[in-house]
Order: sequence, then structure tokens, then C-alpha cells
Amino acid sequence: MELLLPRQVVDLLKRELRGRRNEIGGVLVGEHVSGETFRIVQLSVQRTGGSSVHFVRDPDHSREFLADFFARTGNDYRRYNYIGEWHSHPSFEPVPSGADIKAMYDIVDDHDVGVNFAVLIVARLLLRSSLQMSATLFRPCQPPELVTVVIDAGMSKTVLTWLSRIRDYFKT
Amino acid sequence: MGVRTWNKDRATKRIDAKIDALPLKDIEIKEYVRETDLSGLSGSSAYRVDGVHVYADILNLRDLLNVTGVEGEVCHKRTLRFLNMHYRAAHRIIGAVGSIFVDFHNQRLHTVFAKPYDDEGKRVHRAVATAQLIIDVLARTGEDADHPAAKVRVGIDTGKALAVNNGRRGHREPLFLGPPANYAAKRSGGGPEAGIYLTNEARKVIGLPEARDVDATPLTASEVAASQDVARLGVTVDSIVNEWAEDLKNNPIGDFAFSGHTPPFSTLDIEALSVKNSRRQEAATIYGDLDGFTAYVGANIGTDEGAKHVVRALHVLRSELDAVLHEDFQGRKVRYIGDCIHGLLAEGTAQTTDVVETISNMTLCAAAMRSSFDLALKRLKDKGTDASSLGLQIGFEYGPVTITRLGMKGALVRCSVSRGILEAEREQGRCKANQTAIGKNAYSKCSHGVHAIFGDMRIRGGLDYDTAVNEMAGKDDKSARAIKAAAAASPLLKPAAAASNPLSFPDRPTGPTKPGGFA
Repeated sequence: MELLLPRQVVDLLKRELRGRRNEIGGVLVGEHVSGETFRIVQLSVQRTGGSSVHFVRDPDHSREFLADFFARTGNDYRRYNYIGEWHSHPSFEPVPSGADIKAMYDIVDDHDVGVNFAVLIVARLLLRSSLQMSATLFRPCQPPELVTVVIDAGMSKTVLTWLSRIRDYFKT
Repeated sequence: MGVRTWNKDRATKRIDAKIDALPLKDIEIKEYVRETDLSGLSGSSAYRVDGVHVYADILNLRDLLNVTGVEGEVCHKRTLRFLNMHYRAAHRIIGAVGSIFVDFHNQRLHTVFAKPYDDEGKRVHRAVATAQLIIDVLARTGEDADHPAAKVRVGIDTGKALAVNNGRRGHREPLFLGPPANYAAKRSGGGPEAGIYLTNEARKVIGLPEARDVDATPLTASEVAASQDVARLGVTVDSIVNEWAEDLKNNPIGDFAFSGHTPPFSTLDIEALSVKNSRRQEAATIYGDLDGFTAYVGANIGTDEGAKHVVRALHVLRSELDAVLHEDFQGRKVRYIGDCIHGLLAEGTAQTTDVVETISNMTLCAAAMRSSFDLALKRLKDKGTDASSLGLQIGFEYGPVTITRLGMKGALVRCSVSRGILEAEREQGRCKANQTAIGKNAYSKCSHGVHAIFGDMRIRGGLDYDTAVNEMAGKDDKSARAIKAAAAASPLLKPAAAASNPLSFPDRPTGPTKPGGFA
């Protein structure tokens, strides 16, 4: 899977993460570009519900955001839809924790939810401006997979490669 | 159709991923206290609930399905309209008396009384009064000879059960595991006579004498009246029926419109179905039930550690059975019913089901479920959860099926009902320990290979995947031979089902429905 991340979403993340000691997060909505390529179109920002080590995403908070997104994209669900979750790790490496993995399987394991995959982005800001992040793909009954994230700036593409230890993390 | 296969390595990876996603330290067992919200439980939490369980069975559903010689559209439309009317009425009753709605599984309603707290006797009285209300209301919610009133048999038991997440979108109701849920269900299905049947445990709580045969001892009119006096429900049959009639006038059910789904069923979005968008076609129906699960829950519910193992075993075993059906054999789960999975499978086209291939693949699917089940028990044991006392009983049947959603707007309930579906459940019910049973209709239409596997009794013990493939291929079964041929062509061949589904968005809005805990 390839995940395109528009520059304005990166900037939004940086703004929201700046100066926050508690975890924040929300849902991701995206566009199916082609084949296994998806673009993050927008993300919701829930600033409450987090501590320095934990974040609880409230479905009520994202409901209006999703309804608005669906309306704006003409209810073209096959092209534009919910694509996953994001949250910050201000105190830890931006890789999925055991609780994160379980929460994502809770989402994708239920066939009735209707998604056959979901992406988890975990992010943190270093030195007030350097964004570190991981993107992980979850599918029912499949191990998590690292996702290649491409900054979609409309010009040259910058592939974000995360530390090799993330790969090691999933290999173990 | 692609070759549908089961693969041990693939199953092992799935099972291990599921077990690893449910570490015991992350599972929380809590006591149910006042006003605890049991809706939208996370997959890793469970509550011990002291409650009274009520199962109400509509007895004349089978009569309605059998009213015509041929099981055609007319018969199915009548049956679904009949169920829809009664679902709506029952939904109103549950709302009025404040019990917890658990599920409507075709003709069977399950609801739980957790209130009043700390007074088991009053809870049982309230359950009895509500049972009589259901019987009286559903006796008046018929329309005509084609859509008659419902005859109802109610089973009631009381005690501690474990409330866990049932994991269904749009259905945030919990699933209750344990003796009271099971015994109440057994009483409601315990015979053909209408009435209210209590277990001796429940009878004792309200001071009734022990019954020698609980399934043949309905409450008398005076016993019901005594419960009604204590319960004082505050709603009447007339008020419920009037509200129901008003709702029916304002929100008419409309005509059922059927179409066929192009197989496989794995692509069917049941949550998009409605009265005007229902499915109807020939298919195989399967029921896979965990044998001994009630006893397993009963033995382990007392301690937090034991209850954690119950939650882990349930989620791992059920999800693996679902994965075999959905991922490996491209079928579709209709619902989990407690520790049981109910699913569908078809091969062919939307208009014409390939009968022989469908039954062969369902046989292989049932056998693969057993192989995965055995494997999951082993992996669970290796990781500290001993559920080796459990067995798996599987029944399946072939015939016309309906799939739709019924009930109140905004709270539609999945419904897949037909003669074959009732028969599949009955076939599962006649299994013991590790048996698999095939229905009469499927047996009359299957390949020689399937015929030989089940024999004249239409039942087989310990039927696993390798056994099924080898024996069916030996009798020239097309599906089994294709699997053999594919395996011979390349030992490393990953069959069609082994590949992950392509990443795509469904044609409907999606999004989280429950809180998500991240760390």
C-alpha cells in the first residue's frame, strides 16, 4: 500500500502537536486514488480524551466530521471514505503500542463494519518542527504491515522512511 | 469460481495474530453495577451480570414457512412480513419495560432484566410479567390469515452471566455467555406448547415448587397473575398494541423486493439490506456451535482470571470460524448467536446457484472449520488458555434462503430465514461432541463424494479438512479434485482464497462506532 500525505495535512499535524504533552488524535478520511494507492484527504482532531500515555477516541466526536466529509464528497463512498485512525505519542516513539494494535484489530476484525483495511498513523513532533510518524496497515486476520508514506506536495515526492527499528518491531 | 481451500499455515498465522491481540493482561473483567452501560463494550472487557434471561420463541414460524407446497417468494414474503410486525411489537415492549435487548435471531428474542438491582425475586417477577405481555401483545399483532398472530413460548432463567462485546456494527448490544442465557434458551425451545417456562432455579427464587419436568410445566394463570401484581410494569397490552398500530400506519412495512446476490456471499453487505432491498436465492446455510461452552463459562466465571480466559477463547474461536467461512471459503456470516456462528455460502450466479458445487464447498468449509477449531484450541493452550473441554458441532442444509433486515427504523435487525435455515439449525442440534451433520435436502442433491462422507445417517464424527478433501476427491468430487490438482501443481501454490482481499472502500459510509483506546 502507498499512502499519499498532502503537505497541508502534514502542516496541520505539526500545528496540532506543537506544545502538547497529552496524546491527541482522531480519524482519517481518504481518497482511493488507484489500485493500492490512497490519499489522506483530511483528519479530525480530538484534543480531549488523552493523557501523556493514553488516548481514547470518541466516536461521537468524529461522527459530524465524517458526515460533513461524506456530504462534501457527494457520498461517493467507493472513492472517498473513512480510512483509519491517528494519534500522537508525545512521550514515546511513534510506533503502534500493543493497545494500538488491539484497537485497530477491533476495528478491522468486524466484517460488519464494512472496512477491509484501516491505517493507523502515530505521530510526534521533535524539536517543535520535525514530524516523526509511522503508518501501519491493518487487515482482518493479517499481521500489521508498514505503509510507505509519500508526501504529496504536487512536485517531487519525498518518501518518508522510518527508522529501521519499526521494521524490526514488526518482524519480531 | 476460484478454488476455495483451507491452509494450516494461514490459519495458524490468523489464530496467533488474534491471540496476540488479546493478551490476558489487557482483558478487564468488571462487576456490573448500577446504570453500567453495556452497549459498545470493547473486545477486551466483560461484565459479570446478575440478571434474568428471557427467551421468547415464535412457535408458528415453521407453520408459516410450510403453508405453501413450494418454498417460493409468496411464502417468504409472508414470513418476513409476519416477523417484521412482531419484531416491531417486541421492540416496543422491551423499550417500555426497560430490559436489555440482546438479539432477535429469526423467531427467537433474547432480553435480559438487570433491574431492579439487588432483588433477584423482583427481577424474575418482572420477567414473567413481561413474558405474559409479549404473549398477549403478539396474540394481537397479526393482520389476517396470511400474517397471523404469533404463538409464543417463553423460557426464563436467572443467575450470573458474562456480558461481552458481540462486535456487530449498528448492534451495540452485548452478548451474554453462561448458564442462565443457555438454560432460558433451552426452555423456550423445549417443546411445541406455548406458555411461560421457568427453570427450577428461577422457580425457587419466586417461591414456586420445583418442577419434575420444567419443559412440561408452564406457569399457571394464577402464578403469572401473582408475578404481574408484584412487577407492576405500568404498561398495558392495549397501550403497546395501539402504539404499534400507529407506528405501522405511519411507517408501513411495504412490499418485500427480492434480488439475488452474485456469489460469493463474502461481498454481500448485509447492513445495506432492507425490506425493499432484500436477497433471495438458493444457498447453503451453516450453524457451527461450540459444544460445552456453557459449562466452560460456568466453571470459569467465578474468578477474574478464569473469566479472562473465557473472553479470550470465545473471541479467538469465533473469529477463526468466521475467517474460515469468510476468508477461505468466501461465505458470509449472518450473525454470532452466543457461542454459535450462523453463515451462508453459494457458488454460481445470482440467478442460478451451482447446487453440487455449493454443497461440496460447504462440506469442505465445515471440515476446515473443524481443522481450524482444533488448531485454535492447541494454540490457545500453548499460550495459556486451556479450552480443550470444548467441542464443535456443525449442521448445514441447502435450499432457498432470504437475507434482509427487519424491525424498527434506526434499529434494524438482521434476518435470514427459510425452511433450510431452520433445518440447518436442527441438524446442528442433533450433533454430539465433534460431529458434523448434513440436511436431508443437501444430502439428496450432493456429489457422490459428499454422500459417501456422511452415510445414511447424514452425520460424521471428527470430519476435518484433510479427511474431507481426500475422501471426496477419491469419489471424484469436482471441488476436492480441484484442490488436489492445485496442490499437486505447486506445493507452494497459494490458492485464490489465500490472497488478501484487494484494498478498497465499500459503497457505504464507514467509520468507528465505539470508543477506541490507544496508548
